Amino acid sequence: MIQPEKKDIALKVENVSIAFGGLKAVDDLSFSIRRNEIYGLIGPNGAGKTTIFNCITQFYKADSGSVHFIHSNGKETNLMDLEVHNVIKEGIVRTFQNVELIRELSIIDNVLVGAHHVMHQPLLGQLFNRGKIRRDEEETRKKAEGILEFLDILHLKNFIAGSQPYGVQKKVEIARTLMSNPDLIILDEPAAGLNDTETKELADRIKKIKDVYNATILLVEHDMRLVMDICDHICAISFGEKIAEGTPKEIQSNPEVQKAYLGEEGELE
Amino acid sequence: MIKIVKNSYIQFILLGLALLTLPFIAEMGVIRNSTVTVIGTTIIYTIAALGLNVLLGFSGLISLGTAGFMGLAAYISAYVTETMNLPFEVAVLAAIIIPTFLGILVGILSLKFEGIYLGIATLVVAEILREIFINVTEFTGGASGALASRPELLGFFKLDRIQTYYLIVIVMVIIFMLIHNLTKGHMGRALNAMRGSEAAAQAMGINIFKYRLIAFGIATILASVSGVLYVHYVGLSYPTTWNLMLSLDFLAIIVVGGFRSIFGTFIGAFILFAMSELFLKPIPALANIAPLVKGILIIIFILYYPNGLANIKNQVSHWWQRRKGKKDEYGQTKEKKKKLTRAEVRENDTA
Repeated sequence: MIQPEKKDIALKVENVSIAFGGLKAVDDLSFSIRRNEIYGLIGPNGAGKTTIFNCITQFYKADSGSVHFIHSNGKETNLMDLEVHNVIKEGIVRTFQNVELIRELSIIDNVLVGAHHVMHQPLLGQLFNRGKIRRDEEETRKKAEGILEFLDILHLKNFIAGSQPYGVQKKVEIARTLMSNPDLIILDEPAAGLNDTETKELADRIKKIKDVYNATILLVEHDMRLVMDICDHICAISFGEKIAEGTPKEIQSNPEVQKAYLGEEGELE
Repeated sequence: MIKIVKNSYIQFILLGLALLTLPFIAEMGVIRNSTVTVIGTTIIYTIAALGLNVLLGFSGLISLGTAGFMGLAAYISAYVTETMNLPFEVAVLAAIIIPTFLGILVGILSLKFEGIYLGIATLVVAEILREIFINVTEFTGGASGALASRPELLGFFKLDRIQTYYLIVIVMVIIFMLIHNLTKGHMGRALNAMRGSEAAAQAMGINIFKYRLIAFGIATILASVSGVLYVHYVGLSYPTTWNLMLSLDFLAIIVVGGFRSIFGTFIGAFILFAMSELFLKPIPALANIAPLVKGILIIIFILYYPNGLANIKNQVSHWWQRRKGKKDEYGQTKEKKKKLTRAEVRENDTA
């Protein structure tokens, strides 16, 4: 495959390895994601997909290798130098495989948490609830409502997040990521637990998010139809190693990928 | 009118005004003067418990040193005003800054690790402080305790017992408002997020260590304020007061009153402290079972009412709306169940 030019690249993962005890979860993995594309990471269970996500977002520190994020102005940041809570300040935001919401808070409050690093509220100002703070809250709330409307769940905004069906909770998590004005959105199995209609809707939504928010999207997903439908490029991994990278078509016809998924003899659907 | 009452500030002020009338009621002879003193002490405990509620309720961390920090503040304030003869305001500053500084130091050392270490570290610090209260007699007066007089504001305005009570109520209302501001907005969300899911909070850019430290700092500041008010209201401070039992009482107040609720904290303090002082202790036969009642209350609340008494408000309003046939929580109109008359029942049966 043709290597993309440097200025087009948003995220560059180079030779990343991480081991837990004796188990090599990710082994010398490299891939690059172009700006404003949807990039899929696929692989059988236990291939190390979520581990890579955690290495990118610094929940894990990789044993070796580097993860570089290139801003649209050309500035390059090595994410490995950052603490986990500072990654979002670079414009990188993620969702979780098992939805991580604050169950006892309302949906709108959950979404507002996503704006945490965008809001600049000094503690003393908050203590006395200054006018500036109130206006900031008001504006952020409006923005949150706009995002909830975009995802068609505005009418649910005051409901308790934990009482909502799984599909809605997943949407709330996506809404939360959008609050932070992201450049790179990392989605960990966005379609898990959704039915066919919901998955189809999700596919449209992800494409729309990419266009409307002008973001790059990296996702891990088991639903092959979704991945093949929306991704511009795909990286297939197995046992922590890259076995193939390319367009959905190339991946589908790659014998290595078929082997990893179906064993020696077989064909990928 | 209802909208005004729903404003939290107004609610706090109304509660404050109600509490301010108590000395007048006592003057008229309806309640005893000692009752006012008990309520005043209850308010003081409410302030410390509210600090712990910010820590435990919002950030999910536990401190077993509330009494220790409260005692330290009480002794410092007594020492600065009585022995050093400095103004009350200086004493307040010293008595808040020193324990808070100590608290933040403990927090920095323990919060880098798992949250549970804070509980252990604060327990250790509180026990060390207790030994200091007993043994460093030049500072604390040892087992015979330290004396303090009523506050003298701005160097000339000496408060009497009732005026000190007013001061306590006013401080309580102000603290309620400030804590309300902090917990309803940006910081409250960050703390909630942290408790709900540490991973999500970090992914959203919330610095867990920083917010844990802030929550513990608030708990220590309020414990200190509470300690200062205590020593100048009660007039003395014994080392035996500041033991683990008191710290656990604060936990009990939160369990009974309700996590993350300001009013709940007040109600909890009232039930656990004022009730036993006012109703159990005066009756000799019941005086000894006061701790037992406390224990039973905690068990009942944890088992059957884990959201605490603060939740009653929600339940009552739900019940009220259902009764009125208004929209229920799912936004659908529920019809009132019609009671069947006996004739109708028979009709249904035959049909």
